[in-house]
Amino acid sequence: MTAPDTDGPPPVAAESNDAGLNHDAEVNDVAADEDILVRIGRRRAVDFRDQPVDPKTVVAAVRGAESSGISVDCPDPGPGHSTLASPPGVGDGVVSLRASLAAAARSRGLVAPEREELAAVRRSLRGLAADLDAEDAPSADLPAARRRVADAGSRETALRERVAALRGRLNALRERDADEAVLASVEADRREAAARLSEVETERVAAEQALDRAREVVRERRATRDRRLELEDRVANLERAARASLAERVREPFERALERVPRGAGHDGGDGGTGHDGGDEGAGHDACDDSSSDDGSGTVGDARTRWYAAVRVADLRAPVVVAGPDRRFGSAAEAATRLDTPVVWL
Amino acid sequence: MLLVVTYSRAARTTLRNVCRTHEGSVVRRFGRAALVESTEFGALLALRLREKHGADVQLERTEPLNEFERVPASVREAATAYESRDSPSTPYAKFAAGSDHPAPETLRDREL
Repeated sequence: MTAPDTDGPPPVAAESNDAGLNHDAEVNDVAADEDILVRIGRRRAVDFRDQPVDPKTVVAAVRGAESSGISVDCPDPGPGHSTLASPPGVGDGVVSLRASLAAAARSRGLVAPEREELAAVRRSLRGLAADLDAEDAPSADLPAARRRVADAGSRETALRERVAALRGRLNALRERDADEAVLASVEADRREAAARLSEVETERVAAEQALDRAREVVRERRATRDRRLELEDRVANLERAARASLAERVREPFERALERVPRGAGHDGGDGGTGHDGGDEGAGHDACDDSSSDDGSGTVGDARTRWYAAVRVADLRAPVVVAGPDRRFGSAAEAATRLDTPVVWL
Repeated sequence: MLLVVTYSRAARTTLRNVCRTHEGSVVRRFGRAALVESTEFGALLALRLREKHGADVQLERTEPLNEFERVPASVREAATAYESRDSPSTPYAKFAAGSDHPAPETLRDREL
């Protein structure tokens, strides 16, 4: 993963490969078995290509994760950073343009009008979830109750057949005046089977009653689950609305930023911008009336161009990771300058 | 048939995916619920959902209702008579009170 437009071998992390932009990132190998320490210096760029780390690890380290083998000394990431931390296709998941713009807006301190309501609904949801957890633990072990009924039922059937068979045998023996001892032995077997049958019947009835009770309890709890689902849907709708309103507020600066970041080769004015990342973070559009795919709404550029522009619009103090092919900058320092954001160059 | 009802977003999403993938085994889907054909494969789909989402999935076995077999004539007749009543605003309790039709409380106490 070397930058396509870099001359020569990748440089040592602490040094710059181009004389004009000598950024002052520091990389200290403190000790062989300790974390690599990265400091984002004054020029806010660090070239990290010669280190065997993947973007996810670096993003996690920027976000303060410990014991990943690397630690990054940088300001607190703040709102919006997690969504914008790495380019599309490099981090995990697909982030829609709307989500990226909303993150950029949050990083600039903008607050969605839905925030208060969202917080309130989330609180109710947490309360409900706690109720459900507490309820689920002790009683209503429905699967166990079902199994108990099924087991008792099949044992009952087997015993009933055995009792009938023994009775038949007894009658047959009586008809041909069989030996008293044989009769007594079969009769004893029959009695024993009959006694066990009656025990199993009792057990089956008890098991059925227990199952009925457990079902009743579970049925009542479904009302709580229904309520939880409603709240979950409301949270999702509010989040969607919040993203939409936040994104709208940085739409204009974003359009301008698109003109200031490098386009990919062959993408100039290119693919119309829609469709690449249409889905609004995957999970499902139930109760979602605005699942519009107009995410790109006329903006130009491919996913990476849009990411660059969103990062440029964002006010991030912690670095983003620039990695993968098609990075379009000559160096970490250039990226940091053009994106107006600290950069870790992998 | 098997009735599958989901009680969480995650379970609902799985149900939707299952229905999309196994259209042939799904008789009907209603938002967060679905009727699955009564085969061992239908059971496999339903149990998979339960395995994944536990108490967020409710499974029931349904059967068509033959009212001539399972529902007493008095109830069938009451239903027919009530639906052809003269005044649409009369509640059933009032309708039954002045007639031979069973009172709602009586009906509620009787298991089908």
